[in-house]
Amino acid sequence: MLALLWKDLVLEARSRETLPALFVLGVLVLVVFDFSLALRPEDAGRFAGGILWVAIVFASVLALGRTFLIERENSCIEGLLTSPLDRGSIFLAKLAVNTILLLAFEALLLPVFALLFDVSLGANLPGLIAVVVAGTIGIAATGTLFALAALGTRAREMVLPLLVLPLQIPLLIAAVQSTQMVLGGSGLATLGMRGDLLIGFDILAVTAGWMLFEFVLVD
Amino acid sequence: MIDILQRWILRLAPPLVLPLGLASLAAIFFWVPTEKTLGLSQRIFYWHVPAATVCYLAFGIAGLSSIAYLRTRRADWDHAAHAAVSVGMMFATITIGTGSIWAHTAWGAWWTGDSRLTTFLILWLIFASYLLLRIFARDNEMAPRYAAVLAIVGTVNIPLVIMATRLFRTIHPQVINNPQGGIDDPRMVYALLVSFAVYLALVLWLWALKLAQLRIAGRLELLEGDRNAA
Amino acid sequence: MNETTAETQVPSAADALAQRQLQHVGWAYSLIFVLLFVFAWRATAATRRLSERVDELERDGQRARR
Repeated sequence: MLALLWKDLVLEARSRETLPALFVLGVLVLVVFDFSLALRPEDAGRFAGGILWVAIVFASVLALGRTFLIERENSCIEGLLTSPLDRGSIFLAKLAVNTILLLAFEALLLPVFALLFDVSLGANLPGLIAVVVAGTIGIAATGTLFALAALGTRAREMVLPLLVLPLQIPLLIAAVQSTQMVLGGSGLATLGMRGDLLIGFDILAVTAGWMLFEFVLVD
Repeated sequence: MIDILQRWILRLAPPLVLPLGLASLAAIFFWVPTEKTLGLSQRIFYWHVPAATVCYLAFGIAGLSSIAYLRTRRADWDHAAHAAVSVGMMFATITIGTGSIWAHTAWGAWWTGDSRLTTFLILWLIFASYLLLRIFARDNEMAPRYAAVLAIVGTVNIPLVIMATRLFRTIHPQVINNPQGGIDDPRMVYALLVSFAVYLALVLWLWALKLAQLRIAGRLELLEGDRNAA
Repeated sequence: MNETTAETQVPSAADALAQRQLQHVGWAYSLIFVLLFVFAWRATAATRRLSERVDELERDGQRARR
């Protein structure tokens, strides 16, 4: 499984296309929000968490198909299936790659976000990182499970958001609220139910993906 | 087994639906007393709540059928799941529609950020995307499998919706064990039970109808495939 | 006699409210009926259409085999 992980990472690093695209997309969404909402500085703080996560979710929904697209184009899938690796591990490897990719994207996005909306990231930085990582895992898990399915349909990229966004809404709610609190300086312990929902969602999503991924792969 | 189920339901359900339905409506509009706090508009409750319950039932059946499909790869289970989602979506729409109308008359707003409403809407969206997937992926032979996965993940959300009012703050009327009103007259309970019976008959009947359509469509595809191959 | 005509001529605020609520209830139930009816109708019509087509194809198949 580690070999698979390494292979995908290397592929990504070599192609170097997805991360810049993700970043630019994320920034674009932030900017669109900035202009269309025309928030005054005092109000920006209240909506910052929501805007950040919308940017992350939209950018990731477009990027998550990428890893599979690359494999499809190179007909790697057959090779993957004939390997002795069990399907669940393949999912975990893909999940890891997607998560790392998204985290790299978010690391780049957060400073831009802080700048645009005049938000200080430092109030509880470890807490913020924890929340962002937790949210990202959930997004990556749901996206990875359905990305292959979406690619198989006629409408391709348009279908993944349709499939995945409704499922991600509970995660979004928890992530946005947690981010708001953490940006305001609250500690992780005070997150209460939101934190539980975040972690619960992650566990559910990863488990579901791990169990169901084999059905998404072609025989 | 599905074949037998479909046949029996189509035979037994229709003659039950009409008299039960009439009895229910009569009870709701002529027999049941008016509720204290919400007044006449509360009568929507008798056909709003069973709609939601039956919707959960339908989506639950969809999830179980999807698991069966993934295990056995028999098309009948896939059709059962698809039909269940169709029917469930309709009752979900009924729930949201009647709920909105009730909210508008009782509180003046069509919608609110209430936890039960939000989670139920999520459920609606998930299974809407299921139906969209089936439309978009019609030519793809893997489509039933993707759909099955989606249905299973969606079904996992049902407990979340049901528990939402206990876990989060809500303005949804608490009907059971409410000291300020709610169900305080046994006639309300009976009327509600009759409504549940109506909805149960309805959901089974409509499911069987849709299932019949899907199975014939599947049969047609096979036949046309054979003909094209010949 | 006079009291009753006075009552029937001036609808009280409570009656107006009740009327409006009843209207809403009527809309809600109408919505339910329409949705159920359309669903059942479409399913039955589609099944009829499809089974006619299936019968057609089966007849063709039998003819071809002869």
